[in-house]
Amino acid sequence: MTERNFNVAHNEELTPSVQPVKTFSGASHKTLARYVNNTESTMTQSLDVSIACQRFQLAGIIVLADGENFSSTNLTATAYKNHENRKYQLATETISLPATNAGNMGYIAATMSGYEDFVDSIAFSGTISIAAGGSVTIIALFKGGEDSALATIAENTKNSTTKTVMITDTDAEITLENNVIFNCGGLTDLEIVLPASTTADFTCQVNFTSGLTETSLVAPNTIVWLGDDIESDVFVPAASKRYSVMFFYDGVNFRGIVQGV
Amino acid sequence: MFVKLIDENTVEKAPRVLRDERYTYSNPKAETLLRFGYKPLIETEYPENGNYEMKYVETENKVIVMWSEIADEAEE
Repeated sequence: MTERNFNVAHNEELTPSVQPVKTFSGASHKTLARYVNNTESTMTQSLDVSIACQRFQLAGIIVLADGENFSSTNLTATAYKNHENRKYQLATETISLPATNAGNMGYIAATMSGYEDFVDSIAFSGTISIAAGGSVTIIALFKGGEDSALATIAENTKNSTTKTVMITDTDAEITLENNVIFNCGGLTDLEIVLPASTTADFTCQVNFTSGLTETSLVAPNTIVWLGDDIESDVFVPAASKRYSVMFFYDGVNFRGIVQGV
Repeated sequence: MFVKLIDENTVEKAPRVLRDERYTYSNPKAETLLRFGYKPLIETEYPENGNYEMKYVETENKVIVMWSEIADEAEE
């Protein structure tokens, strides 16, 4: 599954068309992004992002919402094709999330079913609001995969451990999880807790802002730190910096790679 | 500022990193500093008249800058 952090608005540069054209066999769908609201209040996420699809023969987009009380404003998906370094719009559709949900809604398959073209990118715009405990997953549906049981997609999505978690509290205790990105705002206090068990391919990212008063950080002694603002082998957040820390397990130790801007 | 009293003339400023058996504390909070034996330093103004030397005095929950008057040598 392609991981994308939707919490930072960005537009990817489209790469020129690649020959030969790829055909997709076997895979019926691909999760493009997933938002999980683990806070106790409704979160509103602005989408302004374009995702490269590598010339997939796209049948549609599914926005899968799990939980209750969703809403969206001008949520739009637009498919593009590249040709001779120019971008052409193939199809666009507004997607509306109902007030309560238990399945898929909003797709552009109907608009795109007549196209034989291959899609190079999909752009999303608008905002979605997710109530506490809910999640929204955006899935690309490929040609030949339209008949895939949506229940299967929903079940696989629910069981997926890959997600982006938004944290709005200024005092956060984060237990690292495999394939999870924790996006925090300004933190006065941050405590890192290692997971009870891990695998060799464990990775987890924590992003946060250290404000005018430096973030107080509590972390296990066993973490090996590398990168920016390391003093005596320990990560010491500086004031007025945005940090991205990638944690991974090297088979013996947990390592934290720090980048601050 | 949090400090640890060494003697009446010397204090140690709290470091930016503290460690115990299990954790490291970067930019430690006040409650952590207190747990490690550091106390807030209370500074006082130099008295207006006379000559004074600075001394540190520790109480239950703080370290205070005190000023002791220096005896005039001529009077001795």
